[in-house]
Amino acid sequence: MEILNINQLTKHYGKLTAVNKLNVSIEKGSIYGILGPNGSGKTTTLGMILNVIRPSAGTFTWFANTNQNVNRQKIGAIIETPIFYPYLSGQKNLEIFCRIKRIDNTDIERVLKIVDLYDRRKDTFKTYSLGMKQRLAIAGALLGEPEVLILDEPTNGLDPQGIAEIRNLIIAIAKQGLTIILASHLLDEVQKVCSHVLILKEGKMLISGKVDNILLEPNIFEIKVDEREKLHKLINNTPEITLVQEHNNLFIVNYKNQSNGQELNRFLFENGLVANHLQKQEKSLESYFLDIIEHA
Amino acid sequence: MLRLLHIEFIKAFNFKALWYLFLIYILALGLILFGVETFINDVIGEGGRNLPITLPKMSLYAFPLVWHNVTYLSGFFKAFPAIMIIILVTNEYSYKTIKQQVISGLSRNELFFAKISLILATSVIMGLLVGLFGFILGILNTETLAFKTLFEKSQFILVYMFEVFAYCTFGFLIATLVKRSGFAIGVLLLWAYIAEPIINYKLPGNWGDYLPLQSIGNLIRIPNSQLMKIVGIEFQEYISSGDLMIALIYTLLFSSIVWVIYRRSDL
Repeated sequence: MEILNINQLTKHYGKLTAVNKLNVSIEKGSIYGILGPNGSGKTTTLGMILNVIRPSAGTFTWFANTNQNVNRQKIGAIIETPIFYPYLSGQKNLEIFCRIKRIDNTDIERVLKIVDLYDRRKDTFKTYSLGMKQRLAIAGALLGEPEVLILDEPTNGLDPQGIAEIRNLIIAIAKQGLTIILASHLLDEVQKVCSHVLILKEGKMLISGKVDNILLEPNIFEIKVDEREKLHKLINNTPEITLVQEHNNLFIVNYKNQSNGQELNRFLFENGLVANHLQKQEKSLESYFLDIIEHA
Repeated sequence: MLRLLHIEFIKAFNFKALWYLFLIYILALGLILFGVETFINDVIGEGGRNLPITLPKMSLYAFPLVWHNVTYLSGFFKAFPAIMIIILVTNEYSYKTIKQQVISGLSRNELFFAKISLILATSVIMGLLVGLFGFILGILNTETLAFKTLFEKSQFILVYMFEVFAYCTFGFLIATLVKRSGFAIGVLLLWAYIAEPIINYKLPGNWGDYLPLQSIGNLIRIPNSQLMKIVGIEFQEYISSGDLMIALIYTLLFSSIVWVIYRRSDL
């Protein structure tokens, strides 16, 4: 089932185009990562699908339904920093959420226990640590058992322990079958948490699909052989191997699912090729991601 | 509407600064209402000692005249509720909670009507407070209480509520345009006590009556007193539908502008 459909969504700020003709379809049950460097249009996109920012052009549809008010009850969201009334307690802040979402206050206890803030519910928001503030924001988003959870940079500014807490929380929530849309500039976060990913750069979609396909740890090898043509042919006929670059007789290839040089060597030999040079390139996923961003 | 009002009440009731402001308002209002009669009588008593005729003792607070007098005097304190509204509206911008409320599911219309319901509730509370003061003063100052005259002119209380409502929507507009509390309060006071009076003074004839705050203030005009009647001045003792109409048009104008801003802006 399609949860969200975004069609040609665009936002201009004067001359700047923050989001440029974006098309996205999000299926129920997926954990959808929106990955991109700061300023790539992630927050603007989320702002538009949450009615906070008016689109300059394009449309979006939630739950294949045009009644915005009904739809909004099914969406829980946090954007950038946690926003609450600083002088109100965690409990009171969530009571406001309950009125907005037209639900009973009894759900507050449940969500506060999920994020482990129940004991601090009577303290004012301004006394909370950043990690607690972020957890309260997630609690607020979980009120009323929404079908979709939108999280924008949920671990921003947190210490390593806080980051781990929030990520485990997201994974635990996802196991309950919620659809999650997660915006992040951290590759590692998307890789650890998400099932699908969309990479944004300067408001444009670069690539989208399953995390396993797109953010697969690449196995890059350098190969030198005497019979260039034969290697070319072999690469073309082998779907597991893709040619990344060929330079001065040095082939740089990505051998999917095989991280072992021995395996590649054997494969070449079995196909009648003897390598003069075979070396694994140590290239991190991070730099691979940067490459995608750079060379797009 | 009640759901929206409940949301606003959670925010307002737990906000300490608002309570301090409200207490100052009650004290100031009480002091003036209870003090002004003694003050006027002392002045008249002092000044009238050498006059050939004896000036009558003022009774501002006998039923049913009390309703006109207390609402007129309370009219000078309209800035208090307007400042309270400005603080609550600008808080949403400084805490960014206006954005969060939309994220949580409030529509732009609901965002607007939540604040309108808050202004309405504030006006009713202020009106009831002044009504209470008026009732107490009336009881204390009427020599022979007759039930018939008790509430005879109490429609002034209703008009006072409308006056506060209209004034607060002006505050709402400023708060929405300016977005910062200190600045917005400054703009309100500057307009109300300096800019508009100057413009009023410069305008020919009674054109000044069509200025926003002047027209709101005109709803309840200066009451007649025996003193004035002796001097031969007659003030308007009733609510004129023309005054009501002008104030109503301004109220609709202010709130419509805010509504459009709430509907259209990026948060």
